[in-house]
Amino acid sequence: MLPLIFVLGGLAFGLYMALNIGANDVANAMATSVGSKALTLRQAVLAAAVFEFLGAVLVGGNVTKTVKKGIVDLEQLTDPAMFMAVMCCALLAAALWLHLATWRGWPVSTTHSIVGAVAGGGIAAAGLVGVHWNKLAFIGVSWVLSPIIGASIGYVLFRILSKRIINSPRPRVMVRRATPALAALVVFVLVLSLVYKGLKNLNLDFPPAQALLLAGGAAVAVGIVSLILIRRRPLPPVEPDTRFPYVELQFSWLQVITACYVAFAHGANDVANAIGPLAGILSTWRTGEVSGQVDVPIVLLAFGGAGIVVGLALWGTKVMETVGKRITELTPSRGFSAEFAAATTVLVCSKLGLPISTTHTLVGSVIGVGLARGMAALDMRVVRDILSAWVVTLPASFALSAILTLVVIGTLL
Amino acid sequence: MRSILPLFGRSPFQALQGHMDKVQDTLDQVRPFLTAFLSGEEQPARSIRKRILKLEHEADLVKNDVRDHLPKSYFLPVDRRDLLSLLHQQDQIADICEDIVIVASLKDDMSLPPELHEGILGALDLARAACATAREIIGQLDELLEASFGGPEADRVISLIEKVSLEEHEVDKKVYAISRQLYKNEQAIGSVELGLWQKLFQLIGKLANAAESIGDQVRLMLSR
Repeated sequence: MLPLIFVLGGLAFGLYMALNIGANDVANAMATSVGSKALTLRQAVLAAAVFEFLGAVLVGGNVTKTVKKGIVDLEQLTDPAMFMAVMCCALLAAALWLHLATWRGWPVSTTHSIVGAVAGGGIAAAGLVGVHWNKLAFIGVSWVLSPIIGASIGYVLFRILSKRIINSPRPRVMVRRATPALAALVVFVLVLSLVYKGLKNLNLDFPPAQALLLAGGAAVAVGIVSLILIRRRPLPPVEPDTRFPYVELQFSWLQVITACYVAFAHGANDVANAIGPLAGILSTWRTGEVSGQVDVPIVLLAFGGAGIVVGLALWGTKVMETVGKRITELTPSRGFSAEFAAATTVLVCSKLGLPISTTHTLVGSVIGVGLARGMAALDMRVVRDILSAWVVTLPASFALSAILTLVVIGTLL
Repeated sequence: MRSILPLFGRSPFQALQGHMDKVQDTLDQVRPFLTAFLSGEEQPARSIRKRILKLEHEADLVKNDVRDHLPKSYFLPVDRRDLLSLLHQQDQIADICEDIVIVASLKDDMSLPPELHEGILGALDLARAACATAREIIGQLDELLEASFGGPEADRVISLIEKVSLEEHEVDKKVYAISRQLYKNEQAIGSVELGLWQKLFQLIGKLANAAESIGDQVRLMLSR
């Protein structure tokens, strides 16, 4: 009877987390696309829904595994009921903190909340040895590095684009040549992440050589299709002041692809924030022991993905609308660079099983593009918000989860 | 959960262009003023003078607004000091317009020998052309940003900067020529008025200087 409470609680709080991620985080991921008017609001919501779900189901398992059993030391926490209590309390604590922060308008990261909460619950239940400190340190380092890596990729990519295309003597001609290659590049990275150790859930696992071949094939196909599409439309006649609008128009097509890419990477990383602890609860409940099964069931990933999509459909549209209205000064070439940088960083971290904040990475990438003299003005106060995720969210969710765990263990177990 | 939106600040260039538009409005009033003033039409000259003083004040308000909206926490693609000094140079133009009408109103019944009318209006027109080029440079800042301050776009702006520099030189030559002519008429004008007219001529030269320093400032931004 007792474990059932944790199962139901886990399902409810996990769903709440997923809805929250859909309602708020997705808007951030799509902000640059809506802001540069590469996508309309409706297109952005649709693309986000489809690719968030795909990312969650196809690549979401790695990070979910980390949250499920990489943070709490399962050697120390062997009692099934206790383990389920920790995971359930972590979800509740993260959900409560998220709710409070959203209500008060505080900046907060779902990733930081859930990692802090799981660690807090683990330590409350089994003492300081209850968590894998080296793994936590690794995650901490990845939180520092991910915005920096995003910034570096964004900086280099935008530098190359401005040198080779925007500042070339014939930017309009150059962009027509570069678009198929850039589209192919995005598709290559995306498909490679899928087919290389990605489709285990569908019992499709390709060796590296085959994966490279598949990704290369898909990239060439997309490149050829976009080449044909571009060739079909002749270059409009030159007017001195319309050179850049034409270049940006081409980038706005590319940005449709990177927007999907961001949504995919976001789903792949952030679904774990909702269903990571839930996966632990369910596998313990089913097998009756803590170590449980190795892989995360696809149904569970789909549950998390669906939660994100529903949250997006119900409340995310409104958030995105305000995003679209207020954002300025971000042209499609900048949006493309920032999105590609952020999505690639997040996706690589997802493959490594590292839970990182998509929003922080995206902010880092946008700053990187700005440093390459790509943007008119960046308000660096946002960096303060990012730091607050460290100094406020992490301890708050950690403490909340620890207290809840102690109370639950004291009264129920 | 808060959105990444606050990351994007207001474009400092559009604000700069907005200020330059106000400055242009002020400058546009100077020629009608000078025409009325030279032909001794007191009533129109007085009303245009009031308009110039009002426009100059409005330009000051825009300037302060731009300054207020460049908080320290902003990361800008160009040096903040360059932007502020650009704003200052732009504002100089409006200030000089104000000085012109003030100097012209210091003494009653000022008059200039008719043979000098064409010269002073010609000098003013040359200075206005220099200011127009400066405004064109400011208008290119958005395009420059799009091009990350390099490439053919930068070359185009450099040629505008060279143009404004030539125009400033033309104004200097013209002001020198009409000053010489002014002193030739020393007897007819009288020494007090002579000083005031000389001051007016110098102010016209300063208009072009301000336009040139806008160009120089943008050149600095390009070289970084």
